[in-house]
Amino acid sequence: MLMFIARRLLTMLGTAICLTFLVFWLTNLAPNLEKIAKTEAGSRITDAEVESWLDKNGFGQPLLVRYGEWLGVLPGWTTTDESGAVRGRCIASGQDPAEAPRFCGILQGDWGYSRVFREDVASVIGTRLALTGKLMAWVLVVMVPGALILGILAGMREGSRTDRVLSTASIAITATPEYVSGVVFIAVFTSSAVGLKWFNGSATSAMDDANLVNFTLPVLTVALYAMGYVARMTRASMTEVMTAQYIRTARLKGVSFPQVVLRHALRNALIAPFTVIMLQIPWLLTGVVIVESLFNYKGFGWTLVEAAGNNDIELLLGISVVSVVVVLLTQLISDVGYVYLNPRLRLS
Amino acid sequence: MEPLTWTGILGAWLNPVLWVAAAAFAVALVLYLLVGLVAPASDVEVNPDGTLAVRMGPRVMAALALRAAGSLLGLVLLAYVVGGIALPWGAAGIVGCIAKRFLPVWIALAVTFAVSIAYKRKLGLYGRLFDSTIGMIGFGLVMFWLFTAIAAGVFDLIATHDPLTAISGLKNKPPGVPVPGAEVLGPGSHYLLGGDALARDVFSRMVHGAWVVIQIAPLATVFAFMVGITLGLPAGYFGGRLDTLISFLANLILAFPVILLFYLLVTPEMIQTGIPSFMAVGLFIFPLIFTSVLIWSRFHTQRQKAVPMLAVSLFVLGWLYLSLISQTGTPIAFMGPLDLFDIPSGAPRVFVSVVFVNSPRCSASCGGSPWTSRRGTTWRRRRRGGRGPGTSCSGRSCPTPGGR
Repeated sequence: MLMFIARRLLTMLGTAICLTFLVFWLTNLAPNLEKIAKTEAGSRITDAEVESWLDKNGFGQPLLVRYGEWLGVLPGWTTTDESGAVRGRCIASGQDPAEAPRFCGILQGDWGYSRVFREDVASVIGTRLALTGKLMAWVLVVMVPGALILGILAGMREGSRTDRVLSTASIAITATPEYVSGVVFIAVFTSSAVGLKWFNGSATSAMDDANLVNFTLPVLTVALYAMGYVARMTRASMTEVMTAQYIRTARLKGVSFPQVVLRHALRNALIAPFTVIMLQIPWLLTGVVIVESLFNYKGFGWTLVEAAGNNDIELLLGISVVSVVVVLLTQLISDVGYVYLNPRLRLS
Repeated sequence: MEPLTWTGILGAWLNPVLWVAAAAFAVALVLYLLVGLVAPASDVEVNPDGTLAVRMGPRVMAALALRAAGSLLGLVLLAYVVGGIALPWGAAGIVGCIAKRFLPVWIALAVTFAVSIAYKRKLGLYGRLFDSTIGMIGFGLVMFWLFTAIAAGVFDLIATHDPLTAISGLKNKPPGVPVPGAEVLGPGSHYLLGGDALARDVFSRMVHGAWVVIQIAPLATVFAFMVGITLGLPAGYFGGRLDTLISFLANLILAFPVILLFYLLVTPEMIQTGIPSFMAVGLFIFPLIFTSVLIWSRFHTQRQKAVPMLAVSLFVLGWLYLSLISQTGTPIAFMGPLDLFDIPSGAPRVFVSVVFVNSPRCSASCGGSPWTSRRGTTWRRRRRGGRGPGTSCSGRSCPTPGGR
């Protein structure tokens, strides 16, 4: 088991390095750098000026060297301009160049500086992740019990009318994308078109102080979409368990139907939904982009869009690291948890 | 000119009926659900002589009520459509105008359903679809958009305006707003679903959007499957290093936030560098490999059949492949007069990105897993749809390009 986890963590490290290098390469292609130079130094500068701006700001070195600097395995660049002042990657403005550290990469805990937010990447990611985490937590609180109850009620008697109605409902809510349900919710519950002004159409105030009025709609929009999918998975797993031999045995022994469902079927039926729910988490992290933009909730997904739209290299790299870690960590937890829940399996 | 209302003169007496029918349907649905949970399992009675009889129990009554309410609702909705088609333009409001614009689609749908139902016994698996209500509803939905796409994209029928032309003064206007300067009441005199942020007609954009989706989505899904299967099958079959490598690569792409990838791949700067074109060179070779393997695995015992088939298919597909990847205006343009076609700009890069993002999901579903059962045989979780952790092709991830 420990070997397995160690191997997975090593894979995670490898994936993170490959992925960040890929992002680094894509964001550092020549046209992208030119765009950065033009947004930073003015859009009417000549090609020669672009070239010299890039050289002055450390973009002139080979790609691998700069990737090494970002990682913190190579010393950061320094330049001396005409007045003799030394500027460099690791030298903060106003700091004496002699005191500045030689290495400042992610290994030293320095995530870089976000050009869009004019703030350290670490603090941008920290605050935004916390905001999305809050949204995610409430989504899970609403979604998981709802989905499990829906799925179990539908799956305990396959083909019954309860099953058909609930399955139709869960297919309908999964088939409605967030950008449709979100807009419908806003139109129905917040605008004067229908007249039910129950909730707020904007969740901006929920970033500091979430309450029922400003946070219900974003949570509901995400939760409903995910709920249908998890409910369908739960239903599939429940119907399969209900046809098992031991359920028939229990029924033949005279155990009542509710007892069969609660005592015998439930635990085994919850194994598959567990992995599905775990794998919803990475999706929640980046998939909430639409909901966050729709409700103007400035979380992780919104930050991703801002960073990608403005080619904010260091912020994008930070976001990729976080998302790789979240994806692979949830995969690891779901794999280990699956084996723990299902004694017929063992890790190879 | 007056702005259109939603339902026009039909609304005066159809709207109240609609609300009543909808409320009745909702109540009936809840009752049906509750009865299903609470009432005894069946309304079937065994008579003394051994025959069975269905009595008028709560279940049967709830089902009847639901059916009645549902039929009423359906009839009211049908009345809106028929009224819209029958009445002159604009009299039946926005709903009526839209129903009228969709007339070619209604006709095509009616013909398809009439022919299919008439000959359903002779149509094999396709005919079976028409034995199930849910099947028919689903088929109807898909065909509705398919016909809409074809009518709008090929015959230029349904849309009332050009999807890209802006008319000044109609920015962010509500549905039914009249076009300034229009004098004749008719198609084109109103923005049926309002104007968008750039003052374009939302209705026409919606209809033309269907054609864009039809062009990209099915083909991209097929391509993603081909790439995924071509890589995933050997990984799962041979296992070992190959499996490790391909699983690693697949996980690499799966771990990537999809939206970030799309952002990075479809910017104009990226087109200059030619990366999507090079990706197309790599990705579009897979259908060739896939077809060759398919033919070879089927006919490799009959060499005299296999070799000519392979040669012909490789020649045709190879030429198509070369014409596809060689696009004028990108860094890769070498075919010259032999180039059969150029795809309009924009489409290939979206296509390539969609294929690229979705193929690892398919590949993962055929690949290996970290578990073995206690008996020592490998238990491949991802092969079985629906039970694995969501990476399976039979889940929703694969057939929805650009989904998650």
